[in-house]
Amino acid sequence: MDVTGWLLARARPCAFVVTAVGGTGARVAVERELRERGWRQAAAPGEADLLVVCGPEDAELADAVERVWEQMPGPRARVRVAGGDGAAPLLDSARGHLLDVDRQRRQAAERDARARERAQRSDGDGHGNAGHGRDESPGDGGAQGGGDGKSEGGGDDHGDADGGHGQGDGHGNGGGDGAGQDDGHGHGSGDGDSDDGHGHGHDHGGMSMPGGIPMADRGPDRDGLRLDRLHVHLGPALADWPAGLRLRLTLQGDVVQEAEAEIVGGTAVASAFWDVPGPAADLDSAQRFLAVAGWSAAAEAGRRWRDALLAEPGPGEPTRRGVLRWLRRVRRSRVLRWSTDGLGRIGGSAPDPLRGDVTDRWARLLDGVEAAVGAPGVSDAAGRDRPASDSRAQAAEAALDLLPSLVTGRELAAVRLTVASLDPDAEALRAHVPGRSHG
Amino acid sequence: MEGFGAALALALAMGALLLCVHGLAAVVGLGRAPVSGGPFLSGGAVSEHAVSRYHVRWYAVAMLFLAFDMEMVFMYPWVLVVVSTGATAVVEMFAFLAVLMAAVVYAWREGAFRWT
Amino acid sequence: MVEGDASPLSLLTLLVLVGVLAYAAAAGSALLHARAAGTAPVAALAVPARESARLLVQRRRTVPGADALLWRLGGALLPVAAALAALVVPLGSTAVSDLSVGVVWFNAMEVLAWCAVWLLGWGANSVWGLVGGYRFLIQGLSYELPHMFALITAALGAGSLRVGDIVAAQEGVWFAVLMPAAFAVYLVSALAMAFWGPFDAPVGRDLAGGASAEPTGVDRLVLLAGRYMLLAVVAAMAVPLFLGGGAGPILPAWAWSLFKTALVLGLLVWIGHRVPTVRMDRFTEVGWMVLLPLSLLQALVVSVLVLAR
Repeated sequence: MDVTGWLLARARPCAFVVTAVGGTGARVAVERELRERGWRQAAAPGEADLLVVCGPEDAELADAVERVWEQMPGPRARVRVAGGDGAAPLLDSARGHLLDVDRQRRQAAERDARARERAQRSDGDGHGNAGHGRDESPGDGGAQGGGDGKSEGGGDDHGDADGGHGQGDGHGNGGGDGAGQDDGHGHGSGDGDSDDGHGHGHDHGGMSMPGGIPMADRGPDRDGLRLDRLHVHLGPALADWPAGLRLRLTLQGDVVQEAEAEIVGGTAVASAFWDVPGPAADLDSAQRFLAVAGWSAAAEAGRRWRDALLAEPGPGEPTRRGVLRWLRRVRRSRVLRWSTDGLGRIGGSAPDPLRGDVTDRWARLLDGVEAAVGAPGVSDAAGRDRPASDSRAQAAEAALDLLPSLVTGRELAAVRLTVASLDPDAEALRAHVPGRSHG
Repeated sequence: MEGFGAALALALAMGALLLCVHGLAAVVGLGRAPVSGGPFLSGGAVSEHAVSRYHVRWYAVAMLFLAFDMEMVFMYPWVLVVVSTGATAVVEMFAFLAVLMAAVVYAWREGAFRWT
Repeated sequence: MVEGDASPLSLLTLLVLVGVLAYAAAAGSALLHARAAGTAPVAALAVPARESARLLVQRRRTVPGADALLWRLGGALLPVAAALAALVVPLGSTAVSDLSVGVVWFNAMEVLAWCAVWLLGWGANSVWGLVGGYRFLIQGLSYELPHMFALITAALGAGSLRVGDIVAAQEGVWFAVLMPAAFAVYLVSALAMAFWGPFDAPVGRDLAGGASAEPTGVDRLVLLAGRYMLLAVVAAMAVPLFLGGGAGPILPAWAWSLFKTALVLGLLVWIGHRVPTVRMDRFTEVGWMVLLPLSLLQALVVSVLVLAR
C-alpha cells in the first residue's frame, strides 16, 4: 500500500478560488459545493491544492492565474468553472487528478526539471527571477469545464510590464556581479533623494540580490520620513475580494501611500449575475465583508443563507428564521461595529449605497436583507424593490473613482474593510457601462 | 536546579519529535526538494524584496512598553517578600507603579496609542 | 502538594496530553465551523487528522530571497515553546517540574511566541508575512503587560512563584473568585498570545494568511500544531492559577485538572468563533488604558488582602 496515496485519499482538499469578471454565478456555485463538501477555501495559494478559476476565460486574468498556479506547492490540480451549472462534476474530476498519485509524482518531477533548466538558463543570460517562469505544459493537472475546451496554461509572464516595475533585469541569480540597483524601477528618486542617494550604493551595490529581485527603494512618507516603498497589488487573484478589481498599492510598512484602482478583464461580459433582484446579492457582499473582518463563522453562515435564498426565491420558514437569527447575531456584535466605525467615510454626492462609513454600509447591507426576508409573505414583493442593476453599476463606478482617495494613508486592514464594504460589482459595471476601462 | 534538567529533556524530546515529523513528511511527501516560487501577491509580479525599513508607527508604544516591562523584573521578587516586609512593600511598589501609570496616562493624552 | 516528576513516562504523558488537547481544540474549531456552514458536525472530528495528512504529503516551498533558517525556526519554535511552557503546568498533583520560579518560566516560554511569529513573518520575504509579523508585535505590546500583572496577581495571592504553592493557596477559595479581574485579563491575553479568536490579525484572512501565508507542507503543519498546542497550554495554565488546580469532589485530581482545562479551552475556541477580529490600532488603547489599570487595581486589592490575612 502506497502511504502517500493513502494519505492523499484522506486529505481534505483546500481550494483557492479566483473569480473572473462574469464569474459570479460560477463562484457562488463553487462556494456552495465547497461548503457542502466541507472543503476549505484557502486564503493564499500556498495552503491550497486546488485552483478553481470561476468565470469565462480572460486573457487579462491569465497572468495572475498562472502565477498563482506556480505558487501552489503540489499536489495540485486546477479547474475552470465557466458557469454555475456543472460545478460539482468539475470539482469531482479535479479531485480525481489530485488523488492520482502517479500523475502528481510525474508532474512534480517535470516541474523540478523545468525549474532546474530555468535556473541553468538564467545563469547564462542573467534572468534571475526563478519564481515566475512559464509553465508550458498544457493540461498540467487541468480539468477543463464549461463551454471552453481550451487549456488555460501557457501564460508567459516575463513580458508583464505593469506599471514599469522592472523585475531586476540584468541581475544574475547568485552571480555576484555587483550590478547596480533597480533600473527601470520607476521610483521617485527625483524628489529630494540627494541626501541619501549614496546609501543604496553602499548598502546593496556589492551584493547580488537573491532571486534577482531588487531591494525596496525609499520615498517620502506622510509623516515626513523617508522609508522603503513596496509595490504590491491587491487583487485580482485574492480571496474574499471583488471579482476583477485590482488595487495597485505603494506601501510603506502597512500604510498605503499611493493607490490606483482598475478592473481587470471582463470586456466581453454582457450581463451581470446580480441583475436578478433579491436579498442574495446583499448577503453575498455581507458574507465577504465578514470574512475580511475576520469573522469566518458568521461569513460561512452568511454563505449558507445566501445559497438557501438563491435556491428558494420565496424563502420557507426555516430559512427565514435562520437568516433573521444570523442578522441579529451580526448586528449585535459590538466588536464589529467598534472596528469599522469611522473607516472609509464617504459623504456628499456619492450614490446612496456608498454613503457613510464602513459600519453604515454593512448595516445597510443587513437592512436590505432584512427588508427582503423580514416579514413572511411579503418577501417576493420586497425583493423586487431592490435597486435595479444599473444602479449597482453606478455604485461600482463611483466606488472605483473614490477608492484611491479612500485608501490612501490608511493601513492594509482598513483598506480591506473599506473595499469589502463598497464591494464594487465589476460585472454590473462591464455589463451596463461598457465604455469604462479604468478606475 | 534539577527542574531545569527536565526542561532540557523536554526541549530535546520536542526537537526529536519535530525531526520525526519532518522525516515522515520527507518519506511520504510528494517531493523532497522544496518548490521555489515567488511570494503570493494576489497574482501580481514581485517587484522588490519585502524585507524593508518598515514604518513602525506604534514606536512610542514600544518605548513605553520597555519602560514598564523593566519594572516586572522588580515585581517578580517583590511577590515573594510582600508578606514578610508588610505594608511598606505594598506602598512602595504601588507608588512606583502609580508613577509609571501617570506616564502612561500622559502618553495616552499625547496620542501615543492612536496612530491611524 | 504538587510534586515534580521528571521521569520519561511523565514527559511522555505531558506531550501526549498537550497533543490530545491541541487536537481537541482543532476539532472543536472545525465543529463550530461545520455548524455555521450547516454541514454534518460529526465529520469535523476527523478534520484535523485529514488536514495533517494533506500537509504531510504537500511539498514544502521556498521564496526567492527568503531567510530560510529564521523562517523554519519560527515555525518550529511555536510547538517547542508551548511544550516548554507546559513543563510547569500540574496535572492533578504532579507537574513534570514544579520549579520554584514556575510562573516566571511559563511567562518566559510563552513569550517565545512573539519571536516565533515575528520570525515567520520576516523570514518568508513576503509583504503579507511582514505585515503579519509586525501586527503580532504591536499585539504583544498591547496584551503582555496586563497578562504579566494577571500572572503576578495570582502569584501574589500565594506569596510564591511556584505553581504548586499557588494551587495550595486556593484550598479555601479559588483565585477566579478572589481576583475575577485578573482571571478575565488572563483569558483575554491567552487568546492574544495564541493569536486566536478576536486576536488573529497577525494571521488574518485580510492579509491572505499574514505570517502564515507562505509556509506549506510540513512547515505549515508544525506551525498550525504549535498554535493549537499554545492555545491548549495557556488554557491548561488557567486551571492551577485561577481554578484551584485539581481540586474537586469525587473524581481524582488529574481528572479535575483535565476537565477544567477542557472547559477553558472550549471557551477560548468558542470565543474565537464568536467574535470578529479586533484591530490593534483600536485595541492598543484599551489594553493600556483599561486592562492595564484594571490589572494594577486588582493587584493592589490582592496585596491588601494578603497583608490583612
